[in-house]
Amino acid sequence: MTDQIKPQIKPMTQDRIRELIEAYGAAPERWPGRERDLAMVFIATSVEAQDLLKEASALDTALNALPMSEPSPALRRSVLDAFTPPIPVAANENDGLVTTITQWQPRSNRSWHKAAAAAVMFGVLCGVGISQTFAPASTVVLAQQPSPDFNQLIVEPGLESNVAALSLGGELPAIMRDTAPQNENSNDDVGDDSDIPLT
Amino acid sequence: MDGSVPKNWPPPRPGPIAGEAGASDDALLAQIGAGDVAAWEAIIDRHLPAVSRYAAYVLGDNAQGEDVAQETFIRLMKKAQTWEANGSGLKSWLFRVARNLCIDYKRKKRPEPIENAEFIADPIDRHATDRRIDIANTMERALAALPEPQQTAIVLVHYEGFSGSEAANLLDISVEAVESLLARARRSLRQALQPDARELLGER
Repeated sequence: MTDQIKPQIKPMTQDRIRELIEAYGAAPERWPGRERDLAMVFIATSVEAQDLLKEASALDTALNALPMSEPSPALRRSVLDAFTPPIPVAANENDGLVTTITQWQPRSNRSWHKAAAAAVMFGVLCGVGISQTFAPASTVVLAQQPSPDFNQLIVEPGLESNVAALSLGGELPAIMRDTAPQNENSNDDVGDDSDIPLT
Repeated sequence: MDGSVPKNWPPPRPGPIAGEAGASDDALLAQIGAGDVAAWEAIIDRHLPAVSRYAAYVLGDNAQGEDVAQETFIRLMKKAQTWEANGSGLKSWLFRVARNLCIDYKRKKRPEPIENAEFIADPIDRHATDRRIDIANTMERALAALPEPQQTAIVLVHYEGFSGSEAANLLDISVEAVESLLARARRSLRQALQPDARELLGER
């Protein structure tokens, strides 16, 4: 610790010696370093200062009788246990609001939602892909075309994969769209679902 | 008084605080911020005894002193990751926090003692066979009866090795004010010990 306050050196007089001893006691190492040498020279030549020193020394002895107790093992243990290692924060290229929002989230929940979202997306993609890939072509067509004339349609074997692919995009291949009007004679309401407003 | 210099004068310099040597406080705090528990232990060994002792002296109660010391170090743990060396140093920061906690304790637990209150010696102490223990008990009670600023000044300078200017910096007062506090504290202690002065202080 550095001395931030630099007091002016006072002339060494009997009054100043009294002030020093009354404040700091008889131990010179407690006196201000800048005055110490002068004070000791002064004391060596002053009987009155030596009397002051003796009185102060007696009080110092009484003060030193107070035991310099060590903290109990229980206190040391509890303070040691207060150590909490810092949680490393991953480097984030985002600054400002994005960083703030990220840091606001509970630390323990930072990654689970990303993993969950990825798992859901993976599951949806796999589910749709598998259903479209392995389902019989007739099943797909029947869902869209309940017409009894379906068997007359010519579905090329290589077209199945295209059906699956286009179904994901919400668009039926031309061969499917051509069969749509056949629903008009059917009692199945499925074809009218698009007219029902979503609530 | 024969005017001669006491034989034991000048007395030996007070021993250094435990853990004085080694890495600086700032370096240890940086390591604590990086998760180094060994650095935390080093800081504890270096400063916990003095902080605990200071609080116990000021509060006049070891258990309360340990509570204050524990709270001080919990606050340091929270502070460690954002610690910035500012020149005043960890030691000063710890004593400042401990002092504020002691003041809060005193405010909550009991009224502020009256300055220069007359010390009433415990009659049980008079029967103590160990004179040193008797003096220690008397001094402990006398110290606890001092007003807090005087307690802090005397504990910092006499027991913990603070210079007058360091204590002034911690207390946010001038060096002259610290010297005044110290002088009044010592005068009060002397008065408090007066009933036993001849025995305790060797006065004639």
